[in-house]
Amino acid sequence: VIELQNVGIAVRGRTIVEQGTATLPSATVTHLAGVNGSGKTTLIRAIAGIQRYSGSIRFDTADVARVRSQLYVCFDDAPVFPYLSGYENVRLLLGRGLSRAAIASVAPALADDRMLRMRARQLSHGQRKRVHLVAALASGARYLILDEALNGVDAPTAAQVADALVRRSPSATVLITGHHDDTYGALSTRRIELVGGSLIDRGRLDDRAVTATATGLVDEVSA
Amino acid sequence: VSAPAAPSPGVLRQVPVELRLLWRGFVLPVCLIICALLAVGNVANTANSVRADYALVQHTRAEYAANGMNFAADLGKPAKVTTSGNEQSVTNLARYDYDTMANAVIAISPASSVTESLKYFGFLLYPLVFFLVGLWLATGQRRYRLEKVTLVRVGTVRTVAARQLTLLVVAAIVTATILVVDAVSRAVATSTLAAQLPLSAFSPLSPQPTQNSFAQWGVIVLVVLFFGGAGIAVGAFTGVFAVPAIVFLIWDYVVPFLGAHDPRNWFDVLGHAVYSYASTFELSPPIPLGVPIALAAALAGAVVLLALGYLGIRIRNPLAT
Repeated sequence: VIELQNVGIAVRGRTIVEQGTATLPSATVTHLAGVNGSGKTTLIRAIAGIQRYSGSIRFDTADVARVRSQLYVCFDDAPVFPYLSGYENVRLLLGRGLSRAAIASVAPALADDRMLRMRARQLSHGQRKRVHLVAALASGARYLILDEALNGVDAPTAAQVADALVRRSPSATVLITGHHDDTYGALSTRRIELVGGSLIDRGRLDDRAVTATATGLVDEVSA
Repeated sequence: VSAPAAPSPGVLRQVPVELRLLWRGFVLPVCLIICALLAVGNVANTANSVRADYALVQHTRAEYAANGMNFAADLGKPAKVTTSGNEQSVTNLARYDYDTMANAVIAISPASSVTESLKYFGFLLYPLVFFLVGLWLATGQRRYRLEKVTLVRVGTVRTVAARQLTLLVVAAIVTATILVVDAVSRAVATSTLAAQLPLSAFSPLSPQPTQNSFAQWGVIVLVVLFFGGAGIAVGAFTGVFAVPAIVFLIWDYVVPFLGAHDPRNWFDVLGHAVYSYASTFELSPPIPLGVPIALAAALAGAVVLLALGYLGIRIRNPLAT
């Protein structure tokens, strides 16, 4: 569970979030929705502990400093070190050694061996994003935060991510942001909206609709 | 629901990550290549100095013979050097030239490798090298927008601590490389010179100055911590590499000492206190300052700079990431 209580964020005098309260239950995928510039990424930074905020953000009652090894944030800009291969970047992002086989086996359809062997400077933005998604899935993190995770990735990759998240969600608390309600709604079991600095918890989405839509998305693209 | 008892990734686990980035970012290989080339150059320069000093001894010996003077007898008397303005006068040229040659022979010997390397690199090159390494450590990940990933995974305090520890590891690697290259170069140079010149005929007549190895290494570590810490702190505050690097380069090599409390003067004072500069490389004469004051100032400066690294990353975080 990730709990946000009375969270306030201001950047250079501008209020981004005001007294925001929300609960992200475990074993769920929560979609954080909001228009451009509404502060989704800033809120994610606060949750990840790299943005100053007031109020309280707890990970199963613990502070972020105690759960760093169980937290993985997939940032929107998908930063990579250009002189390392995809494999080496996954290790860099996770900060630990992981065999090629272990990395490749996480999601072979998401990033194949050929792509992961390439130097990161040769990768497109979408491919870099896939490297981050592989790292996210390989991390085994208990708390997964994916900022605009599907922006810049093609439809088959989006389907693979959807599939992987559906499989991963029973053992993790997942927060995902994005603009396309159809796609992200299909992945999510809960929805929170950030509107005018207010966090609005829309609660649980219909279970059957979610499963059906997610499965449909995977099936449709796979076909 | 109980809190997961998962420890944050430790500082020691982050050090190999930082080292890998330094290596794959070509910073460490370039440092090692430049230092190795300069080590070879330093030995070559010292070898040339031995040849020049030997030629001078032979010249003086010939002049003694031409003037009917006893060269061997003068070697038993001390040489006295007096300075008047910019001019130096020597009372006993035979002994003076012999001592210069004997010092050069000692300096080129493999046994002098550590001392000669440290006193050359420690003050001439280390301030620049470790300032740049520190600066790159503080800004390299930011350049590729990876800093935020590290901060989430490791936290700010441990990120800076890992970088400071990495700096010491890099110092150890660079110093070890220099010492190995230097020792091999000296062995080659000594055997080459011994085949051409009677080096064994120039055993020192004067007692050699006592060397305190502990103090010598201590000052070098202080140089690394001070200038490397400065690089990390400046990088944490500015977030950029090029401008601080150029400013430091100009300050270190072009601008004369700005006063007794110019940090370069502190280390100049300490260098002259722990090393004997009687061979090829001469450290510039310092502006007079007490050794305890210079030591205290350098230590306090290093502590402040190391602490500023933590402050800088907190102030810049997250805007620069």
